[in-house]
Amino acid sequence: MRTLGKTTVLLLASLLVLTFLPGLAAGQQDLRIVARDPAGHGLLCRLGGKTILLVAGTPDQMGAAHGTLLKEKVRQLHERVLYLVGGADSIQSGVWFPDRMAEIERRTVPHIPPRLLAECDALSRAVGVSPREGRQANLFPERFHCSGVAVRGKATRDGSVLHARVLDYMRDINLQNAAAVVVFLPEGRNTWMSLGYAGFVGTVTAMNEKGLAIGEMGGGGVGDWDGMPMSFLLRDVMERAATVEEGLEILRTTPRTCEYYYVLSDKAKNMAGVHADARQITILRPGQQKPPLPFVPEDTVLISGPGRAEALSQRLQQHYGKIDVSTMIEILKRPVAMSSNLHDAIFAPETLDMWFADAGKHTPACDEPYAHCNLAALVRFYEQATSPKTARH
Amino acid sequence: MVPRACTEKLAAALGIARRVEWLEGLGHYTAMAALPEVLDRMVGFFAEDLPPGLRIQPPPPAARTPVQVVLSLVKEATDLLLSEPSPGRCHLADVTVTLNLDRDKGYEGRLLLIRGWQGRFKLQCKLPVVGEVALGQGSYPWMVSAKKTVFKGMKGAPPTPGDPLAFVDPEHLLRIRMIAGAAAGAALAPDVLEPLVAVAEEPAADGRRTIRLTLKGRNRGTLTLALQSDARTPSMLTFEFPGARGKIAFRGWQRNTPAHEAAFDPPPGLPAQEVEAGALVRMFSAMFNFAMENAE
Repeated sequence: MRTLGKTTVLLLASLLVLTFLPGLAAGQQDLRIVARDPAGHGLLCRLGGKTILLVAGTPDQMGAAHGTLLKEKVRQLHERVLYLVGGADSIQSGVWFPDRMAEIERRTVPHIPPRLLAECDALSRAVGVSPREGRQANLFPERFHCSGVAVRGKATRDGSVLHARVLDYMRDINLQNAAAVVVFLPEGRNTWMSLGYAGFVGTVTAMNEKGLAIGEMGGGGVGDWDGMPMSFLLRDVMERAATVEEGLEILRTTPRTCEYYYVLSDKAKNMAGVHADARQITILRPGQQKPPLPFVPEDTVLISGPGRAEALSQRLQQHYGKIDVSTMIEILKRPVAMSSNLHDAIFAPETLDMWFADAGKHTPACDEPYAHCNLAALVRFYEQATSPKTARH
Repeated sequence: MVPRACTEKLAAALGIARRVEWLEGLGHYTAMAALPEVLDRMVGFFAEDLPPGLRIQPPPPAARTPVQVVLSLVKEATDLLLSEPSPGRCHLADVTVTLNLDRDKGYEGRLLLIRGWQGRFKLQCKLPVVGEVALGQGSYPWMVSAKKTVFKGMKGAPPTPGDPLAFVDPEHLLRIRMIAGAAAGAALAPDVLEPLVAVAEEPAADGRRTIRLTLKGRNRGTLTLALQSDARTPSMLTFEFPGARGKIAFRGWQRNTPAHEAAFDPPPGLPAQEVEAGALVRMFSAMFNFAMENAE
């Protein structure tokens, strides 16, 4: 009876929390299948207004399913990143963008695992673009100016880990039109999900089935391209690591490219901030002070740019001990997020939940309603939908 | 609505199957895009039977109503993108724009667009952040960087200039055609504009004809159009909407005017790099798609 009572209270509490969390009206139950990969390796779904893509199998199979199910979105994204941004970059810099991308491709390809290149090329074939275009769209040099924060223990309302990332990047060119949560179920590797974009096989915002979450922030160092591209490196972490320490080991031992910052967290409540470039890597532990970052409270890790980091630190202190998902959504709002805020994600690595928002046509992501999904539930949905016994049409 | 199959069956029964003309790719509402062409054909059809003495000449510009003047300018603006001038000729628009937004700093820019025959064009503008932008297509596509390097699309360029907007979303072009069609339709029945906009003659300033447009409904605002002494060429458009006001000064506005091939060449004397023609055309289309998306 005692156990039953506890469970009932927990259920009621969960229902209460779910009722009042933004965006949760569009729950897992609203997930509906829009299209199936004819080869049987992917599902395209809608969750409220969001696109969810699930792909499974070998690199070739996953790439082909991705390209088949999101063909038009991938084309749109290629146009934006290679030709619109490419044209503007050529005008501004005086360097022909396709030449710059060809150099990045030549220098990074030796460091990219063959499985990722195979997936990228299969995706290109399915979309009907050249492998060069597909690869270069994935090697698009990210110059993000973002924020990342992870909190746990004394900082949060219930002691659990919450990991948030703010992606501030080119909302104005409408990349959000190609936004998708992509769930990868690769053969022989960790299942994971990326808050990403049609056609991207790498990631900058992700969590895996082991309860490891990661988000990236860009720095400088343009030109250091003799290493694994950042977005592929993070994918490798997602597919091979189960804990923050395993993720850090991959980051340490892999040849890296330009300067990036990362925040990692896992379900064992371990968290770390990372500053890495091609030559060095610095690990920041929870509560560790590191100028020029502002005060970092105990049980928190934070990384952000000047001005925004101070606002983030102040808000963390203001809500310290009471932080939950709703509070975190408020913490991430401007000026922590920039006006270019393309997407935001809040991970709960212990439960595999993700709350996320994409930019609107004229609004930063932080001002848009959040949606919610759960990696374990998405995987169960995929398995049921593709199982010959339980497949729903 | 009458399904196509039914129309075809009826036409066949009447023996006029070959005379039915379909507006391919257009639908119930988007058929408006073909209105100018349909009206031309209809007027031409009836005009065939008129004795020459009864044919009505178009009114002189000064005698046109304010609505006719405005709609004619809308049509000319859409022609910049939709209608190709005769060989050896061009459409030209050269404007300076001043825009003041309540919650933002002001913006000043200049735009020169020359639309030539067979895909030739030249676009020069000054934009915030990016700065001076120049791109075009003469015998090959080209683009000038802010650092004054010319990217010449000579690699893989076709022997004659191709469509510089080959990769544009057809929906965007259809929308422009619909605006042109709506303007043509409204010119025939100006009363349809009554619920949307009030168009009135203003006292002439400096001897120039001036027309004031007051938008009704949700999008309230005013536009004041001053014409040149010929009473048909725009001189200045000032506008004021909630949160934004500004003016467009017309330095040049011509249709089907003579143009030399060199008008579409990149600026001479700058360092140049030969690049893939196809990539440049993709960039032109991407920029056009983006501009249209933001104009919506």
